[in-house]
Amino acid sequence: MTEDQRIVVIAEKPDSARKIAEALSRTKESEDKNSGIIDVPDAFDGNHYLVFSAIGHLYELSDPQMNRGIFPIYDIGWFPKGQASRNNFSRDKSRLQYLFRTRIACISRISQGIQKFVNACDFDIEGETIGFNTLEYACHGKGRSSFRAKFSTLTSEDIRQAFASLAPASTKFAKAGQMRHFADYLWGINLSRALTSAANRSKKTQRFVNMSIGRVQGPSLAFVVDREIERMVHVPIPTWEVTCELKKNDFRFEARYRDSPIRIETKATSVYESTLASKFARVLSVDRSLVKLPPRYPFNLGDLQRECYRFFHFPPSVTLAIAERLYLQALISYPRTDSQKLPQRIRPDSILRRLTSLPPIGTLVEELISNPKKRSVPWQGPRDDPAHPAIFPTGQTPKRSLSDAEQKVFEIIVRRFCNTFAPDAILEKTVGVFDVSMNEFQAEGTRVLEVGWMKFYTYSSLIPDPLNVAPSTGEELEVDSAAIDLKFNPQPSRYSEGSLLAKMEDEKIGTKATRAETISTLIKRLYVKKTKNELVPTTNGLSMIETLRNHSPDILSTEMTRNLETKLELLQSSESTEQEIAEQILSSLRSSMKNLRKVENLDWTDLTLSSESTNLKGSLGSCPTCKTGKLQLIRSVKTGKRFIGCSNFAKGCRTSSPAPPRGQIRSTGRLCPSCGWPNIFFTFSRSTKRIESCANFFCSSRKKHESVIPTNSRR
Amino acid sequence: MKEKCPLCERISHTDAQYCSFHDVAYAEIKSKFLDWNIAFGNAGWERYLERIIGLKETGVWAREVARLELRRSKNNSQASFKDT
Repeated sequence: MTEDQRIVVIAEKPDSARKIAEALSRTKESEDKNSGIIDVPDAFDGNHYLVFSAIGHLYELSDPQMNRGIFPIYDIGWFPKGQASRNNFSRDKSRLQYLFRTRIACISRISQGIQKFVNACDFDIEGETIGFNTLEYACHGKGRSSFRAKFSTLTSEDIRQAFASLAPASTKFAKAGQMRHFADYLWGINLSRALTSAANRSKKTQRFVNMSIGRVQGPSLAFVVDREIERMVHVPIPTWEVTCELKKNDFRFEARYRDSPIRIETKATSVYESTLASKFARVLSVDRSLVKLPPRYPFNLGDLQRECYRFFHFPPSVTLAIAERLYLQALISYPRTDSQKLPQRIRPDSILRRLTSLPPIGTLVEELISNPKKRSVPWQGPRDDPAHPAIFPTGQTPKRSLSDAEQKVFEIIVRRFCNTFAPDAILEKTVGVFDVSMNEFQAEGTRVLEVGWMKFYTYSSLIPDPLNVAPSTGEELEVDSAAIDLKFNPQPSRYSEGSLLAKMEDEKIGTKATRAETISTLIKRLYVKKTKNELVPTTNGLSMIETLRNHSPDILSTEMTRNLETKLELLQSSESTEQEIAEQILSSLRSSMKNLRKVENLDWTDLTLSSESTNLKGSLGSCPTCKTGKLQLIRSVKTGKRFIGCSNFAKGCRTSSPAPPRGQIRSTGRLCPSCGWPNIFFTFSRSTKRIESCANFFCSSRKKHESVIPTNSRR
Repeated sequence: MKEKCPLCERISHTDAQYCSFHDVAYAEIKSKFLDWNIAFGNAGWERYLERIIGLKETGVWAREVARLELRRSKNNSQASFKDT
């Protein structure tokens, strides 16, 4: 029997699989959409490749017992995604489960008899874990004997180069990835179950509530809560600022008292009064200095997320999603990187040349190339990432029209890349000191002498404010007016998604890939509310942090999370063993669990649970029967069907009504004239008009809508 | 027996009269009194409380504590006036 010469390539997503197949193929490749396998019989190197597309993780960690009441659990394992889930009622979920099952079955069948496997998932810990798990569990233990294709962009050039220099797979990245998953899962599932159990024993909860906390989620929530506490207890301090307007040849400018802010009222008043009384100010000194501003560093993921938040108000998770889409179109390099360096191997000059054909900034790039002051080596930042360089454009033009948001992110990446080749910006700073009746005042101004990189990276927040007059020492200027302002120091500002991301980066908790997701989870779990771009902790968030801080503060400790991150990094470089890390995870988990057991016995009366923490998101109106409860849309845990029920169920109110199985339901704020139940809006799809109807299924007024409102009972 | 905070009815775990959050606010009010005294000369406790209650920069919990402390202080001075 002849050996099968075909090579199986594992790609992380369908889009990247297609790009890889296109790059490898010399002629036309054929795709089987059901199995997710693209056949490349005639590759550039003469091989026959079968490119298989995973759909992210095909395997996930799960608790085989599937009993939410049992904790702590330490016996967990890797299972096909969705297999070990109890919530099978959702149609979308079962469709996904089917997809995962068929993908695993296909790769399992095809890989039989094949000898050579290539892991071509994204070259980072997650990609390594996805590839390793697929090879190990679906491809009959091929994880250790496979090869690794390493590339940072999805351009044909890069992919072919990666396949021409395949390296034997190293399992240390995959092991570190698996260990991170173990730590997060064990930590999250055990503590969340313990908290849920404790919270549901509390007398204040009227219905079942789900609480959750994670290894990174806890400390991140603590940052938001601590800032809110600082704001709530803030007592302002009064300070005074005295300013005067000076005049020279009809040009006015403002000067500020040099020792501002003044902390004593009597002193501020005396400075103000003497300034007001004086007619002239004498110029004591005028200092001019040149300041060289070097270009901004190349983008790593954190910087890109922060800048997109600052200038376009894109949440970090949205920026990451857009950057990934741009990567899959081969427009930019791999975005999940920490590096601020652009090495020569990416051939930056040829990228610059290709960028000249890019419509909005092509002419600017041409100007940069012809500029004699252009840097030969791009400006580099201090941070490095062994896996990938900083984010850079590949030089390819978009094949399809980009959305507005994609265009913005793409342009900022291109501009930031170009800025690293541009010369320094040169500013002139002027500081003038004036004597107004024995009080020293100061005025400052900044003028841009050479624009340098600011021409390319126009997002800079530097606004030049030139001190246009050129007063000379000893000269006398006219004092036009004087003002005194009493100021109170404001409350510290709340975290935005961008600043929380920066804080997490500074504290070294989470990874570049997971930080944005952690923030989204805090919002999704209703621990934090987003109001006008600010993150405001909810009552639950405050209660959760207070309770944990009182009884099990180590759960919120950044120290523990940071130590574990460091250990996981050491595992990648083989300086630490899986055994050591597992021991550390288990010992810290055991001690936290022990503390939480104590908390459970305390009955948690201090945990104030509001309706925010329940599975319900809003009230549809007051209950017509008990008058004190609220009618809410509830999904039955048993049947998965929706119904409208009273929040006082635990107190004995059994008011309920069936609800349509699909579509949006919103409150109208009006009552039904026939039965007194609240009226609600039903919307079934975007194309259909919303219908106002009584929430009570059995109300006579509902008869006229019967033909249009689908019901559970009719189904 | 555990005392309840007079402002929010949460249990005060420490010996303090307020819950942990309002207790921090009370400490903050006391510590900033010195700064206000330096700024305005001897402003007086009640005048100080009145002023911080009216400021939009004052935090919610600090304002709640200041209101209660002001009420208590006024009651105390009335009681001592009656005694004399």
